[in-house]
Amino acid sequence: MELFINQVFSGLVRASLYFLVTSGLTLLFGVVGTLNMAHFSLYMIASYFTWTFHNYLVDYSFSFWAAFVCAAAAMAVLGLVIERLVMRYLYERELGEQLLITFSMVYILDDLTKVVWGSSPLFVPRPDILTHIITFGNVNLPASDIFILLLGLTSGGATWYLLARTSTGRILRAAYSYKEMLPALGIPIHRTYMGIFVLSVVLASIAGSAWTMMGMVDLGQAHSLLIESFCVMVIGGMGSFAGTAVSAVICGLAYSFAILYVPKVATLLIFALAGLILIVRPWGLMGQAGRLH
Amino acid sequence: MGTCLNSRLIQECVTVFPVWVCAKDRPLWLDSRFNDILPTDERPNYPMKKNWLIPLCGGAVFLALGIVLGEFWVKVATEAVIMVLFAASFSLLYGQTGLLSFGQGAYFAAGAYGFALAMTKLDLAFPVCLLIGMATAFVWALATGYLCVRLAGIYFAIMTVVVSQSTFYLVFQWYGLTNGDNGIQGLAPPEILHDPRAYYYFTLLVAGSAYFVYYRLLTSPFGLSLRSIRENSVRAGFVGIDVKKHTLKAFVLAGLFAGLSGVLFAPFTRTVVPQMADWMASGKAVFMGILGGAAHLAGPLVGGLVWIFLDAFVSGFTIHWPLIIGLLVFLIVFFMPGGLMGLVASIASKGGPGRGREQSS
Amino acid sequence: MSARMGRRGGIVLLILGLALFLWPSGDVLAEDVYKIGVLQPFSGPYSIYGEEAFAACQVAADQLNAAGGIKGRKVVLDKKDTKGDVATGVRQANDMILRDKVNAIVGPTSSGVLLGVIEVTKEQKVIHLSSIANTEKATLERIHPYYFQVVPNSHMESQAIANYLKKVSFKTYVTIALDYEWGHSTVELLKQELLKTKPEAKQIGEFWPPLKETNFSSYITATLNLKPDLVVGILAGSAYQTFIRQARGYKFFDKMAFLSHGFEGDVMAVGKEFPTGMRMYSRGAFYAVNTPEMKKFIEAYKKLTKKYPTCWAILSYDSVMALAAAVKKAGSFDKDAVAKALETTELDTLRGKLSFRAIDHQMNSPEYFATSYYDKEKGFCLGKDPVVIPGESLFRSAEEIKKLREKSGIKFVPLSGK
Repeated sequence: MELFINQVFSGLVRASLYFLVTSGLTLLFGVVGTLNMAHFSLYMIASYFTWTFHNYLVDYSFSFWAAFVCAAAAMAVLGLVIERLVMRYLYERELGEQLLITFSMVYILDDLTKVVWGSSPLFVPRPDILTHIITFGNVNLPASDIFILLLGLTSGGATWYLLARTSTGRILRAAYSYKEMLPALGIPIHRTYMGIFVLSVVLASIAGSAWTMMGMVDLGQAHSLLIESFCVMVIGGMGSFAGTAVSAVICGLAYSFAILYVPKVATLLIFALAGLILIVRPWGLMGQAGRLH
Repeated sequence: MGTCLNSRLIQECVTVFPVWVCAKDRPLWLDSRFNDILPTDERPNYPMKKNWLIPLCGGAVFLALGIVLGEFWVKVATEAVIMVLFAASFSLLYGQTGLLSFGQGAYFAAGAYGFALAMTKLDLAFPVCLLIGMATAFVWALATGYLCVRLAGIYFAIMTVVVSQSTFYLVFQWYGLTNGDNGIQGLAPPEILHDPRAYYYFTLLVAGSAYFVYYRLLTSPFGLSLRSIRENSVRAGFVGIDVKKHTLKAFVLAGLFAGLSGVLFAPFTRTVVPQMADWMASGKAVFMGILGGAAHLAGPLVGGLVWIFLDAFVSGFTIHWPLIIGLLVFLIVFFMPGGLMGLVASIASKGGPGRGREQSS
Repeated sequence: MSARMGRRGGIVLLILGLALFLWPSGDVLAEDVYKIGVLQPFSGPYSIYGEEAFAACQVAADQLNAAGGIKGRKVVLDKKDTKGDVATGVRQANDMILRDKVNAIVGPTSSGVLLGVIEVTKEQKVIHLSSIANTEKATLERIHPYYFQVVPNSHMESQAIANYLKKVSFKTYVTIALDYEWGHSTVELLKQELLKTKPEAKQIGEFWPPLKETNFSSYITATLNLKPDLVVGILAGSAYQTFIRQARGYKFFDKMAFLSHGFEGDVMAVGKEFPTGMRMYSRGAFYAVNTPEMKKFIEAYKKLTKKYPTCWAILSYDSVMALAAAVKKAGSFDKDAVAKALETTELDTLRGKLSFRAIDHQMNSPEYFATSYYDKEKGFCLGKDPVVIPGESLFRSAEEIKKLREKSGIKFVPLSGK
């Protein structure tokens, strides 16, 4: 029983990280229709920013939390710059060109990261409050993992609230269905798009900061998640925010149990799932059919 | 129905294909139906002057290179000639058919591993190994292509990534057969091709013939159909093109080109590793194709040559190759979507607007 | 299309091509230097290994040059980037040999690239030493007269773990190994050896996280539930560091006895979070060797990089020094003479007097075992009570090698045996 609960929990933590990394990508693709391959490089840079700010503030007890917020702010600025310089000119381009330009940005950003921060792996110590273990009966759960789980839930909830319950959300949903209508209604579509891009970068930043609690800040961290995240996105339905959440949970749990019972195929499982979904239901579990054809 | 389609396809590829490639110019009758779909200069009745001067000069330059260059640069030239085919494989899908494939590495690796296994496990003769490598790539492209071509646009692109990454894990995990991440080594070609120059001329011969096939493909009615599909697959369907069948054919042919480059690459480096299949390797084909200009006949040629020579040259003195190539591709896609050949064509047409892919969307 | 391209297009293309071909190539042959090619990844995720190895080679070259070079010739390093990719590694090796005319190559990092580069050095007959990549396939199958392995190969390392565990008391154990060649070969051999020497030890679980695993919590909780006496971790690089951080979150190291490597790069990277009191092994631990040479090296290395040397650095330094010693012994720069000298000479290394075995060109490099403790001053964990397991006791026997080679039809006669 403990094993079961533990595996469910660790699966959910994995799901939370998948969701944090993928949600920004989904959001941008859903509203604007641009697939940003460099999203993962931004996620990596956010981790490096967290490390830098943490290092500046290392003498204070709130250093981690401050670094978390500062990294998000710095990433928002970086996102703004990238939007103004590059992304703005991509929205109307063909999908292939969008992919290629953002793919070339992966190379550029990764190498620049190495130039700025060097190639040694870095780490950010967890704040004291998150080093505890919380015990329920026989089940032990680390506080930092619980925090990541909560982070996933809150940022997911907040984004959902923004999309579903606010007037900005209405504009965004309108952009999702009829982007041509927005300018006709006098809504500055470019500003909307800029906002969405910055939001997606901030989500990447939250994921990057969360990651610093789980592992190392290093140059390979983007690569290890990239393909898996694409699969999560495809399974949920490209551009579907709720779908991404659902598929993150499915993938996280499936993986968590697969390594116990069928460890050999655990890595292939997520690809097989994505392949199957693409063949049977290309628009994903919760996407809308025909939107992209 | 699926098997029926597949067996007919195999039959066609084995019997009809060689005849069709070697045949004299086919009349492009009936092909005025493409006129509405294709841009002006790609229509079948567009006056196309045959210019033999440039291909002949190019061929002569390539032949001379084998003598003029130093040993290192001959090796680089060999690598470049092989990579031209890899770029052609991507260009056939993206430039001609409009399908963005991020998974050509899978067939590159299939060819290379087919060759390596035939050589080390079965101990067959070199030419037979080459054929087996091609056959492996063909079978793998047919099997996975059947799944991929059902999708379009972004879904197709992601499906190819999924396929190539799965191929990577398959090769990586199948330790008994493939040696996992250590790969297979000692794949030296026969004694006569041991000399770098000899192997250069051998690859030049094979790749040159393959490129001739590529040329024939592009100028045939089949090539026109592919371009029509690229321009507008719905309308292409209306004029009687079986879109799915044509894209599958293009996919398999592209897989064969990738496989051929893999087959030539394995004995060139004497080693194969699973990384040949992953998405970064496939990205190389994408970048080379884009660099040269995927829609142009000479695009893959220029792209492959420039990429490999640039890589060899730049990596010789700096460790910032990713930054340089990233910026280069960024600028090319951003400012001249037609690639280097698009630039050349726009200069050639006396400063007219670049005819890249931007007009065709 | 060729017709569309037009003549001017052709000219542009031709100029572009010619510019590339005619670029001045570095074919200048300098007779009075001894050139050593350092072939390592310097870009991408593995660049940290390359940088450490290069810094150590630089220290070695500086020391040699300060002492008048190798037989009067100045030592020059030729740095080339493999990008962690076989095709690039092979091309760069060719570049070093054919254009830069290096006398020897030291590198690279990953086994796949190493096996590719060995094919080049075999054909070009260039002296090649591996200081980081340690697959046994290199010394067992792909060996050639000019290839030497300084780093203990994968067989030796698992043998060392097995030998060490003979003296540790435990009844049940679990292995967590990365799902690739190194992980598999190590665990396989360990299981076999323990069956022979410690039949009471039972393996009650094995886990194979993939190479790029980022989330180990499922493995950690599953292991905790099995409650073994000992956990053996065969993990590497960022995956290892991530594992340590996540396991710490579960207080894993308070509950389990854990044995894994203490390669200094990983230990330094996780700093305070590295478990203390853990049994760890290394291929070259700077704290386990107390010699003036080692002190001098640590000083010089720290001056260059502001860091303590890792085992990669020590092994790379030893490779360059071994090369220098062999040239001195051979009395000439001729590669046959140098290779022969490498086979037969006892070499002074940072880790003591070591030599290459003729049958597989494997150096009898020791493995260092120690128990970790946190050193406040340095800011990372060091090992105490080091146990040195000498390389000779870890070798695969010569008969076994001959048998294995015969089975796969490999013939190798060392130069000194001719």
